[in-house]
Amino acid sequence: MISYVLRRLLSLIPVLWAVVTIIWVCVFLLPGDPASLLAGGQRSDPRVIARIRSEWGLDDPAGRQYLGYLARLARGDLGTSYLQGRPVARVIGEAFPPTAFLAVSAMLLAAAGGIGLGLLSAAHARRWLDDLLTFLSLVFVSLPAFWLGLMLILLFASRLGWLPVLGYGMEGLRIPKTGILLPELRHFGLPAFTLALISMGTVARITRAALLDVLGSDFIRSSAARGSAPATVYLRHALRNALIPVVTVIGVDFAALLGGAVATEFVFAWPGLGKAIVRGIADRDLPLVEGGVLCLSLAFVLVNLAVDLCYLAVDPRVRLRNS
Amino acid sequence: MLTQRWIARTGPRSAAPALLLGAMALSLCSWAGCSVAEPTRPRWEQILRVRMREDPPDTDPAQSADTLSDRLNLEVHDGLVDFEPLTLEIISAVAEAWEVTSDGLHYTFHLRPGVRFQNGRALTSDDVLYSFRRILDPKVHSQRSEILSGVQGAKEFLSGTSPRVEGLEAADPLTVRITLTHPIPYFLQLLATPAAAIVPREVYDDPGKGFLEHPVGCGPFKVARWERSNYLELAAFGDYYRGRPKLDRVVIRFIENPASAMEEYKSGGLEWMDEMAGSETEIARSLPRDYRKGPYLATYYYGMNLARPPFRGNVNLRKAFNYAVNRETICAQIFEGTHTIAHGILPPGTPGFNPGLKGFDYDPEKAREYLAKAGYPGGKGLAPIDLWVNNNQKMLQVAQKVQADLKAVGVPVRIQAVDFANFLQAVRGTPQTPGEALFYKFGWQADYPDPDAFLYWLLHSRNAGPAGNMARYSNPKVDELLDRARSLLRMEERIPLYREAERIAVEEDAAWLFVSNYTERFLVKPYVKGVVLSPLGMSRTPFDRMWLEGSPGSESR
Repeated sequence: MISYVLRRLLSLIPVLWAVVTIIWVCVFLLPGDPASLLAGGQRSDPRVIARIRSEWGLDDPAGRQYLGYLARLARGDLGTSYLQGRPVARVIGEAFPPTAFLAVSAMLLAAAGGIGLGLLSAAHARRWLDDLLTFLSLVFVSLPAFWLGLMLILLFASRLGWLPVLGYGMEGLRIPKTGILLPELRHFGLPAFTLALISMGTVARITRAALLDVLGSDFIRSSAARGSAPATVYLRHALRNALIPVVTVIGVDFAALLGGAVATEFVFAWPGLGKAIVRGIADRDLPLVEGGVLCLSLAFVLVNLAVDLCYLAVDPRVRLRNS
Repeated sequence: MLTQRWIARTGPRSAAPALLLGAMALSLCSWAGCSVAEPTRPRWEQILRVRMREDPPDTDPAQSADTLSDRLNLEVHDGLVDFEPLTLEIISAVAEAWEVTSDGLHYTFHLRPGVRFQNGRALTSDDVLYSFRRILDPKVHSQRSEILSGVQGAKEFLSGTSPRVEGLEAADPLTVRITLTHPIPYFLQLLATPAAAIVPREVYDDPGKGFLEHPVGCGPFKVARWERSNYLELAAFGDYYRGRPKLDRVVIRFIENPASAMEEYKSGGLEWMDEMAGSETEIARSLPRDYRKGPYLATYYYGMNLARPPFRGNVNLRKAFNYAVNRETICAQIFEGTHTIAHGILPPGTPGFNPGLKGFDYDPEKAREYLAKAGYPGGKGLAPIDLWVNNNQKMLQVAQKVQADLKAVGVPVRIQAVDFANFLQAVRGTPQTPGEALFYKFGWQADYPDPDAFLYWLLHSRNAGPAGNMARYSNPKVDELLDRARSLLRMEERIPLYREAERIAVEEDAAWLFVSNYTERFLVKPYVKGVVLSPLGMSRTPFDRMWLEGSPGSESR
């Protein structure tokens, strides 16, 4: 088990190197001059632009810039944000937790809701409730987060006044020693729900399909024939065996939420990493973009690793094959 | 109610698991629609909540070059002098009085006694010298060094050939003398720009640049807390030399999406809102007491790259463009009356604005005539011209209108909508090489209320490229008029020169396609008093003159 994890971790090194290189090339090819942008939008002193370019090494040959970047990364240095003048690591350290909180809570909601709805759907397979739930799942999956977010704001915040319109809240708790600010509880509601609703549809559909598959197998029939209560059949026997594809979908969705919640962060003014990266691209804050995308890629591969490890817990057969 | 707040808890707590559970419970709670009671803040605290698009990028005043940074820097810092926000007269700030010799070369500033920085230290003339040298320091590479480049010895210091600036002297702790190499009629105005702030050396000498996160000035508000991308809280500075501001706190909330911000404003989470989403006519009608509109010294134009064909040397083509476009429709329909038609370069309200300048009226017949004179009858022989705009809904609509109007007289135009960084590079080029963009939209706002702030930067051939003259307009006669006008001290003598320069650039040379002038608009709750609309833009509307009055609880919710 430990050697398996170690092997997997080692195999991450070439993956991350490839990611780093792809990011660097994309960022290098971005048109637009960061120095010119930083030196003022209306007018700027050409001498200041030249000095900034040379200070940031933007006039160096591409090869030297790339090697310099790798060398800095190897030392654990993500560089300094052009725009904010602060270390990129700090910027990410502030922007990643809000994104992670949102992704985790949305995923928990989506998993609980999606598996529940999937169970309900499978239990009522091919009846009107199943049709209704399938239809709703499809609707949720197809909704763009941007639009859904605004609609939820209009309904729950503007019309009903139950929840705040947007924001992270100003008086949330701070985790001691880390400086990480937690969002205010009420402020979680709408953005988490927006993200969850979209993932919930996928999870529900996959759960339903996997369950129906398993429910057709012999051991379920025998278990029912032995007189097990329906709840035992569904929850203990069928669901556990149907979980592998569900866990996979949840893992993929979660990783996507970590990086793909930009629209939701934008609508709800959530101070997350996705928004920071998009702004970094607009401002040509190259070190911030490189560092941010790297951080998200790392989160992505680690979540995938965690999903693989979950298989071990969910399905003993996976363990057997590995040993 | 004015503010919503959870009871502040700062004690140590165990972290991760509790936090995740909490998050989950809370999400479920909100999902189920339970509402949480909100303790209210004491009524007497005056808190103004303001929307800002994103975090101000430059909290170092020496680099302040955008409206967001200006907004913050003007609240945290003060300079020797200031603008009266509405009339734009020069008023005293850190300097309580000043004298200027009749040749306009020697300035003596008498500092107000008892001015303190927000770190408690008293401000002296040494701080003024330090701050001004810092702007000229080549290592700081300030984007605003030109405000002091007329000081004796500044050019040498800036280029690193001299260790000191001769023209900056402290006669005693409360007296500063500045000597210029040539008279600069708007020198006091330059000293009122955000970049000329007086900063404490012990804070700004930090190579680690801690001042970026914790700026310290002598202005009315100090930065109390800054949660990036979330909010920035300003607290009234009790020892402010003009007296403590009436507002206790100003909370700047960073909300990028205008549509979300609009909902937040309507639901009472903001007192102040700029950049409105949706139809402004509709907003002005539904919130008549909140909607404010006033003049803004800024001009909106379509530049033509005069260093490249087909615009190079073809004044008839440029006139044809000017006659072809219907500015009235653009201002009335697309801008919904928030822009006024521009007949020239200077916006109304700028000293030297020429109401008699005729410019070009919409006349498609004349446009066709000039197009033929330009050598392209009916547009024949003219390759499609790329029109560059940055991605913005309104600007794109204007571009489409311009495209349609030009097409109607036979000029083929293709729209290139790109992001701002791309756009800027294509438009600016370098001082030597013109940018790739042939035809582009651009806006220009005054840093200081003087015709020089428009005409010198936009028209003088010395400023070709990034410095401001992106069209690369060049006319020796205009250069000479502008140089002469900036060396004279009396406005009455300067204005005729500026008017002549503007007339040549507009009516003789048709240097650009002149489009419109902006107005400043925002929403502010009726219970916010003391709001002044400054023609220099929203960043010049000082918070320290505002206060809240009445019962906001009943008004905002």
